[in-house]
Amino acid sequence: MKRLALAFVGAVLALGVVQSCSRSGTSTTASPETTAWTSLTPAKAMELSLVDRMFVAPKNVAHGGVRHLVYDLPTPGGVQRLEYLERVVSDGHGQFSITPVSVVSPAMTNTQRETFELIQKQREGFFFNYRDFGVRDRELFGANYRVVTVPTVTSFLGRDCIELEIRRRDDAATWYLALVDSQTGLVMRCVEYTTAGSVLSRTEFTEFTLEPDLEGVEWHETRYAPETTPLTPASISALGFAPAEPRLLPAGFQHLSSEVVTAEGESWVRRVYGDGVESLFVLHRRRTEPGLLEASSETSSLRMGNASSPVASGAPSTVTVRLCQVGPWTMAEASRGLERIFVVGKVAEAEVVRVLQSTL
Amino acid sequence: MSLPRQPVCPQHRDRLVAVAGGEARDRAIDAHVAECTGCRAFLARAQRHVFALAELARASAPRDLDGRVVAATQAGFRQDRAVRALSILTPETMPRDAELVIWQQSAGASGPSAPSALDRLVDSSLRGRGADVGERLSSRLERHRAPAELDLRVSGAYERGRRDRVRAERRLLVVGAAALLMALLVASSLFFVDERTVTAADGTLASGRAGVAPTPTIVIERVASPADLDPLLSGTFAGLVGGATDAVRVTGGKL
Repeated sequence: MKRLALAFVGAVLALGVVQSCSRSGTSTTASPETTAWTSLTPAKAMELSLVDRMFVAPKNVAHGGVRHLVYDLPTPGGVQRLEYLERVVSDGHGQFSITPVSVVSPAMTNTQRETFELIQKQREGFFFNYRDFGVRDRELFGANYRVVTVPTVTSFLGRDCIELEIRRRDDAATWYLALVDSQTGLVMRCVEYTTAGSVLSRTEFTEFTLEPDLEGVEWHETRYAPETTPLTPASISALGFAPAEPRLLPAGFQHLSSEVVTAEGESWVRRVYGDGVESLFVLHRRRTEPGLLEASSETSSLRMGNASSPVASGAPSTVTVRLCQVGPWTMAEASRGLERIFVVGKVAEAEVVRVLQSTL
Repeated sequence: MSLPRQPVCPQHRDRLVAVAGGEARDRAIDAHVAECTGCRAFLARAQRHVFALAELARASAPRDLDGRVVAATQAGFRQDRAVRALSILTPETMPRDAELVIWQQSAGASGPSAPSALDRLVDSSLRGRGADVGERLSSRLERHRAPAELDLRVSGAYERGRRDRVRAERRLLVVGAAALLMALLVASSLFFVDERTVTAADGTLASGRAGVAPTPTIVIERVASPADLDPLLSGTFAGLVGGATDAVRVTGGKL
């Protein structure tokens, strides 16, 4: 069986899709986006525990405002800073919008800024779901994180907030200091620190309201985002190759969702794993250039389930894994034949290699 | 941030915990906390913990807990009532005659005795572990000879059973040998076929086994910038860092 599975990892796909990261609202049942949205009034939200409030708030509490974001990426050449403002609106029923307002740093020409803002708008779905600090799974959050509450109530933009110090129980590379609206559970400000004490990112509202004006808001439209479908035998069959699945995960991580993403005629598999806050992505794609498949001497056709898959008949003896480390993030890609498998997350290099290796 | 943590003074620990819990402070502890960093930090931590505990959501008891508690309590009451009822029962006194007989027996007074023949029979039965009784009973049975057909049928059945047992033993032997062979094959594939090797950039090797089929050698190649990776991967990373890598790319730079 393993030989079969091994054989399915064989080919390389090349596709440049910048918008690939967006996420539609019609994903798998395991996806956090498929929750039935019930708008929570602040009074109703108070019936939940603080962690529960934090979990449901972003999409279930109507709110809006302007956020100030700063990212300091540590690179060999020094810290690269991105600083900008964005307007965020959520109607409390699952609809949301994130629109760039202005870029503070780096300096950009008008054309550069327009391009950047287009890319940002294209990514709003991904941003809303994965970029910012948030409780993405209550059980995993409880299992993997410890929270210390600073014993003072801070008023921030007219809201009573609780300051939380949030760290992985096994001391990960970063930790968070979050200011949370005690009534709604919305994160008003969050600073991510490295264990060395330097700031990695900072996100905070500069304007905030619980009664946003919903008139004329450009909601995140799934029809403009890449199409996502749950990973089922039917979608696998349409995909045409057997999706790789890691057999080993970093400590504390569990499977959250698996789906087939299609954009600009190309499809790939996206599996998301999480520890309650951080996400680990495993992506799998096959190159579809005509002629390459027939020309490849390594491939043969096998059938697994409903999917007729071109696979490597003789497993290559060597797989090159390309690794890139930026601050606490690790990216890895492996090429085999026509297929490529990617892993990215805020996880140590050895863990990422192990995850990737376990998919082969 | 990474300053070494000063230990709390053991003699003040309990008092500090009490203060963190809301007890009134006194001048002595205030003065000590003011000059001792370890105790000051401990008090701050304890206060944070108390605050965190106070912030914990109240979990409501399961709906059926009330019923269970009532049932358990009632069961306890029932047991108590039963014990009380038993304890107040009037004890039945033994008849005086019976007491007298027992007293006589225990005092060695001669009472009614069994016939000596009965004594012998019981004694021999106990010694012979029932064999005597069996013999005595069987000796009274009328002996009959079995018909010849029955002999044949019994011996045939016995022979068939013996042959079946031999066949079953052979089958078991074959299955056992096959299982042993399979186990040897799996073990050999684990030890000799599925040896994974990870080659680090510095040339060091690490190996491990993770399955049955052979897996390829992994060669790690380090890439300086996410821009050198596949766009699907670098795009996902850009999303995780708020578009920071895109900003660099758009402005013509490279991470």
